[in-house]
Amino acid sequence: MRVLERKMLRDLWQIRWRALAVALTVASGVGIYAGTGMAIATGFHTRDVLFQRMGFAELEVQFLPEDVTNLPDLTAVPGVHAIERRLVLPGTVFLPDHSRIAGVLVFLETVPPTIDALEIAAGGPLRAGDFESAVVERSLATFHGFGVGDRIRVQVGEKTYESRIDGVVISPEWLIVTANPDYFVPEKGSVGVVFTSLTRVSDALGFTMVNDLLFRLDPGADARAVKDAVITRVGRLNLERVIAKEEHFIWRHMQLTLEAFQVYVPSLVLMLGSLSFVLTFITVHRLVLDQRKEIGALLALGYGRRRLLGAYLTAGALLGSGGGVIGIGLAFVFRNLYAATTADAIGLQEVIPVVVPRLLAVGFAAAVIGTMAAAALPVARMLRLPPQAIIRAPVSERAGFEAWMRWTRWSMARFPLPVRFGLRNMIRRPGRTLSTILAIGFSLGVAIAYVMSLTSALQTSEQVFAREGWDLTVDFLYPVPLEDLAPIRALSGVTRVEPYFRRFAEIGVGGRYESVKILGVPREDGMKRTVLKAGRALSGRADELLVSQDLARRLGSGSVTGSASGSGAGGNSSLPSSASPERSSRVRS
Amino acid sequence: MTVALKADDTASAAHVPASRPLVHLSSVCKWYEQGSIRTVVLAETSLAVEEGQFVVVLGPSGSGKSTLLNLIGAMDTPSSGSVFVAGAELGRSSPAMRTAVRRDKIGFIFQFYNLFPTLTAAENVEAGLEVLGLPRLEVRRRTREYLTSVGLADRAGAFPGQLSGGQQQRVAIARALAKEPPLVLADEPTGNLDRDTGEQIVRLMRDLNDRTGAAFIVVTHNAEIARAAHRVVHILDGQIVET
Ligand SMILES: Nc1ncnc2c1ncn2[C@@H]1O[C@H](COP(=O)(O)OP(=O)(O)OP(=O)(O)O)[C@@H](O)[C@H]1O
Ligand SMILES: [Mg+2]
Repeated sequence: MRVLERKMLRDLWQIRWRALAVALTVASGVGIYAGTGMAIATGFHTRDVLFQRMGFAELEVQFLPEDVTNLPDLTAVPGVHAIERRLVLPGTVFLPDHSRIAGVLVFLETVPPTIDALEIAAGGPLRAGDFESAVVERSLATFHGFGVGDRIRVQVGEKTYESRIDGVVISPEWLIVTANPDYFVPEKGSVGVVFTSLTRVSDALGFTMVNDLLFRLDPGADARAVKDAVITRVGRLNLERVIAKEEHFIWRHMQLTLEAFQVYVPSLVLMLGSLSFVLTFITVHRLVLDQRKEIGALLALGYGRRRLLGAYLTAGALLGSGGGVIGIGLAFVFRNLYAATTADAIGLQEVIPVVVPRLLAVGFAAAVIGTMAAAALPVARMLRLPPQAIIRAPVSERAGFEAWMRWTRWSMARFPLPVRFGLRNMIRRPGRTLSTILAIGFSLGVAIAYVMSLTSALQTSEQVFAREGWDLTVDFLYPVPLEDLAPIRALSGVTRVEPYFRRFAEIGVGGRYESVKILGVPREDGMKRTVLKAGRALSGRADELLVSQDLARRLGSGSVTGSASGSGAGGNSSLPSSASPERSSRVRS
Repeated sequence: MTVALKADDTASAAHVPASRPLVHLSSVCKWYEQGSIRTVVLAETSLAVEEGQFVVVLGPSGSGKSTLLNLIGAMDTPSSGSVFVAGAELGRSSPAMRTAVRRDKIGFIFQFYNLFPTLTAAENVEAGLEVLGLPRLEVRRRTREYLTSVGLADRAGAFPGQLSGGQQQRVAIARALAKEPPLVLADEPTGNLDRDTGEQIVRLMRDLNDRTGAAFIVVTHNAEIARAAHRVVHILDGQIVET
């Protein structure tokens, strides 16, 4: 090794603790950048792998219960690979402590199902021919104490189905939280899901009735085209919803959770990146000032500027790659940590980690280049001076510095000695003190911004719900005549009941269609409050409609045409958040 | 007695025969500007130094001795006038050219040694040789030779912090001379040493001057050095005055 490089290494060793601090700061920047990136990639990957493994339905069609003999043959639709039929009924589950929670009873025609397949967490599979047999989604086991061998009762309408739990299962439809705002407000374990055989119902009825079709498509099939074709064919049915995979609550929920996490990464990386740049700069600046005489001596010996700059660049590269390597190690630690906590928070049962070499490479390269720049900058600045001036202390700095010191000495005179000593030490190096303060401010700033944005997100949703004027919602399997609401109105404590009508529709602008739910909103003074963001309120004409803000965004501007309702754009309004439940009847108590 | 020389009847006129002198300053001015204040350090200074000469520069503190040495050593550029060293004009040459002059023509010895504290005595000497692009073996040979000639062969592996002031200055001398430059510049090389050690350093430099034929320009307050010199010049009020 050349003597100059050897000198550089030993100089670095002399300041090894400071160098280590720099390397660790660089490392944490790289680690956070690549670690969070890989954690998010891990989240998406895990979702994809699990959904692939469990055969998550690529298309789901929900409609009002119908005799299977009346169903059109959809297997002939080009792109459709397989269809499995189910009867999905909302109801209530009786818990061991005799309280009840919302539940969903899923009657499966295909046992075991291959689309939205069930993975067994405990016990065994559903027994096809056994009318007593049922398996429960794991939330009922985790949060409500049900176990294999227990009996479970689910009430659907007037009828109560009692079953024996043969197994506890994981379902892709309920992958993260057993909650789905299409049924109820999301909260871990707020929905009990029970799977049992469809033959139980068929046997009692004498015919087979279903209201849910799950589709597997041919590889490479155009999901959009299949969906359109399916919608045309099932036109005669009382369609509730047609859900493409990407529109499924669980899919979107994971997407949103992971994307929300992604939002904080740039600011974190920016903060740590600039922090390590400043720290490297200050450290090397200090080193360079301390080595003024040595740099002068090297110049006197005939070392060129480029050679000296090269030596400091090498030192920077060394620090940077040291930090980069530690950072890559940290990235794996951060990834596992983030992925594990996120999975735990959202209730994902397993994590399938991925490595993203691109993130690691970019992080490493940024560390090396950034540190090299931060290291070379002070030297490059110094080398612009003639060697003679380098050996001397910089004159201008001195003059300003002395005036500064005089002023501080004067202004600190009234403080006791220990305070003076402390302040003096800070004031002696104004640049370093300033950058330390900035660094502390920076990190506090990011932390506070994070808490504030979380708080404001929370408050926004609280305010949105606070505007809502209802306390309880009741959902019906079939549309009911208004007279049938009389018993509900008569209940004690109920002050007001507001009926709604809900229906599936496709709404579109210029050939682009989105699946929506039409919700009949009373024109004024409804319990479900809408906030008008643009346009005007409904005036009572038949061809008017309000669209939610998020739908308006998805559709873009232009004249709205609906395939199920009348056409024409009446206005543009915001319905209180997409998470707010929409019911066919609202009750105020 | 001292005689102030005018700008045009330069020292070179008196001392330089037909051949070009090794160092030749003509009408050199050097001033520093701080805001609107201009400090003139050297005014219309001229000087010529022949190959192999041992020249001592004397003068009161602040008279511009170090400034003069820095100009000759290509560590600074003159405000006006020209400085020739071994045929190269330093004022108008590029930074790369000045670097080459420092590398190939000049050995510098500083008052405070300016050794590299993280390199051993031998490595300090090697640092000066490596930049010349000499082969590894030659670097080793010269390092050994010059450390021996300053009497420090047995301390080759010691770091500057483990050496006395005199020993450190001897390493600095070895570092400057191992390059075998035609010109050695020393700024108060004994200024930081006790009398005996100072004398030892002076003898060493004088001895090396005889043996290697390198020209020496030494700034000093040390009368011992002045006595040993071929020639003594004084700087007074920014002008060179020959004794
Ligand atoms: N970079 C600079 N900026 C401003 N003035 C300077 C600078 N360098 C030197 N001077 C001034 O030039 C004058 C001569 O300085 P120089 O260092 O050459 O003196 P010197 O003869 O070597 O003195 P000493 O014997 O004390 O070392 C001094 O007055 C000094 O203040
Ligand atoms: Mg001086």
